[in-house]
Amino acid sequence: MSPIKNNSQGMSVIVKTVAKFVVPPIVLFGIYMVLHGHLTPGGGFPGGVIIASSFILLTLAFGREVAFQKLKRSTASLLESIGGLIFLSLALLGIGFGGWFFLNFLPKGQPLRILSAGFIPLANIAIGIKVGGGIFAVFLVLIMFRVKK
Amino acid sequence: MWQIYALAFLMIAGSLVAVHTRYLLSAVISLAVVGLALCVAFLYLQAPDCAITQIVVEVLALIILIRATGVEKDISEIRDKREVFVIETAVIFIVVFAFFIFKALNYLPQFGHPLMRVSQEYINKGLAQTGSANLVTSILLDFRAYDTLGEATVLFTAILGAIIVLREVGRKEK
Amino acid sequence: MLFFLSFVIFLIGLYCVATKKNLLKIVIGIVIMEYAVNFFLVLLGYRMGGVAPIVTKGVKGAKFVDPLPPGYGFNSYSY
Repeated sequence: MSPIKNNSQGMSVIVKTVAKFVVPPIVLFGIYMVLHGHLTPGGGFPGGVIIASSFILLTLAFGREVAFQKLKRSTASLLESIGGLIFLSLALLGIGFGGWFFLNFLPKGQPLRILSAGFIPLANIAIGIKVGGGIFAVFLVLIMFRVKK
Repeated sequence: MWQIYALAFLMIAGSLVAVHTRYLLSAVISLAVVGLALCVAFLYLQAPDCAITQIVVEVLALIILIRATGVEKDISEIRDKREVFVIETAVIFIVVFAFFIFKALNYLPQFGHPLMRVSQEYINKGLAQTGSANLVTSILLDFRAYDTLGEATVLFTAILGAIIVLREVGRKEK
Repeated sequence: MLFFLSFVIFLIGLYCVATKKNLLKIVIGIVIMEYAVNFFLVLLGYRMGGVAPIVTKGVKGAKFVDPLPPGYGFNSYSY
């Protein structure tokens, strides 16, 4: 049975249809907030949590079994580790280019454009991936936990 | 500034309800009211980054708390005897604590006129030295990026601890 | 006076942690204490008649609110 017509778990049909339409704008808004972290309020942390909460909405609307087929826990842990490693390597590259830890080594363009402010957009992307993957991994572990009798 | 006073009293009322009620679902929902009033107070205090982060994290915590309390009917109610000795000791301690807090808060600068010795340097040189328009992001990711690295480490450790406690593979069977 | 109100919220959370026995009530008390501390930190940096610390085209050298306390509040949301 296709996951949309499976009526035995998850929520009602109205919730499933609305969730299908609402999740792409939520992911788009989260990506917008991560990328424009140096121009508007926001940044890496809220953007990452918004992207994770869109996956949580999918899990809540479609039930537990369907979500486990599509989004595995190992993917979420892998994303979180990759995000953390990118952030740390950006910091260490500062040592290679200049004198000290966390040196801002990319050129600063004109203000109020996206490709300005050194490595701040890259650091925002790394933190967004890390926070989003981490929170989704914790949520998956929480709903997979079953007390064995 | 009467708006911030009104929101502070709303927060006090909400937290009193959350502490004293017997039903756990009502306590969680009044916690939601406290968080929402705090988000609006952050908007009045001209700190939009904190407001966005507050509401997003609060909604996430609410999903988990409501799922923990409101679904099953037999863990949503508390019936206990009151222990008089513990409550009286706690109240006496809190009153003494509040008296000393009131004395110590006279030494802070007046509300609305902060001393901005370090922050004035960040405001003057922030745009020229980093090129980013958002000054809070430039402080968090360029001037004081080491703290952000520390927070990323703390988040990683907390998630690691949660996954280790709740895993299914590798548990010892009794 | 507003600083004292934020500490009252902190003391209500502290009372909840110290006297209640149910585990969920203790968690609610800890969350109330955390909200109160963030409130206090952002109250420290407000400036009368100030605007948010984001440089836009029309604003040049205006009165900015202190940008450091929102940074502390931002980094504390990692529970």
